[in-house]
Amino acid sequence: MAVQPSPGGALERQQETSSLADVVGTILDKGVVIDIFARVSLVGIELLRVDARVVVASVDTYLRFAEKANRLQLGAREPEALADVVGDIAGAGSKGVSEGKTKGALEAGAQKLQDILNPDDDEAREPARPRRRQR
Amino acid sequence: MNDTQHNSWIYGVVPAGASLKELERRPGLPEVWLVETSDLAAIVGDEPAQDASATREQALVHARVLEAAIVDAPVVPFRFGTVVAGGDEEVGTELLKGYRDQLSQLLARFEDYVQMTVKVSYHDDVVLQEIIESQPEIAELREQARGDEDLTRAVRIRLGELINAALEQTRALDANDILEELRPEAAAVAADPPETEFMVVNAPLLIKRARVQEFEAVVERLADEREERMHFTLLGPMPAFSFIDVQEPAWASSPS
Repeated sequence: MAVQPSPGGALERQQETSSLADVVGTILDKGVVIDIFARVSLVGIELLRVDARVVVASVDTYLRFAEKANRLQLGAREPEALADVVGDIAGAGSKGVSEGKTKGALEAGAQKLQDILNPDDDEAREPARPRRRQR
Repeated sequence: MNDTQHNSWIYGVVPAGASLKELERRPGLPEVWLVETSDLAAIVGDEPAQDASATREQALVHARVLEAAIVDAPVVPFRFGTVVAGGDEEVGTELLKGYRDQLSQLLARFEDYVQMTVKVSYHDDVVLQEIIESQPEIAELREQARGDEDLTRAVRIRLGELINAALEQTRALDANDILEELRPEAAAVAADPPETEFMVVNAPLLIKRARVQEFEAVVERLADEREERMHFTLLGPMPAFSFIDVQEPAWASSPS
């Protein structure tokens, strides 16, 4: 089942969902629904919905694009460092949300995303409630 | 176990007797078990704790359990958050026996298919540079926008607006071009909205299980050809989350 990367290595292959960002887009509000059964009202489900918010262009977006364009060194085509990308995500998550409670949770989400993006952190791949297992 | 308040978390339904070796083998998953009737089996677990962090973890777990299951068997994925009030007995009688016909039909319909999701994003600096270089007005505004932030605010908004419009335009062209290449490989294509501003394509595709490797080769070729401007990610195989979207009213009215 394992697939080798292409020789050029341009394609990133993910056979297991490993980030919350991907999983939210993949499973939220998708799959079979049987209305007769309770859908459990999970405390965090609305926050997942916020994670899945559709990108809508706004003045904030425009100002961010302008800033990006200004920072850009023309001629220097270097891929953005992962740290910058994560910084952008954390910034975007806390921007434009006025309610303190939601904002805090969003920042926690961005933090979690940083944890998951950090490949050194094996714990990010473990579920919240590790089961006792026989060794 | 406290049976009076116990809920069973439903991950999905597979044919009875399915040997889910990958699900047993794959590390980092919580305890799940199968509840079987004569021809169907539900993949069941405990519901998560009622807090945001547990919900997020469960979202990952829900996807990863189903991804492991579909390696060995067809899977009808259930919507995140579906529970049956009660334990294994209720899952067997109310879910598997109560919805036997519908679940069997879905399993049969999607038996030979898996979902693969293609996500493509621009290298943002590269596409920004293209935009600046191709549009003199943008390059001009960019020069004007240097300096005091308050004084240049209107200029910067206009600059960003033009960049956004140019980005939309180039995105539409590139997305169309990529989807045209992918469409012949897929039984169905869904287009999800972009998740970030620089995302080009976010497309779940329904692929014949037997043709997954050929499909991967096509995506690899597209990724190699566009490596300078874009980054391709291929997710899956996973159950057909984006193509099984059945609500009870639709079942009731659809001919069987």
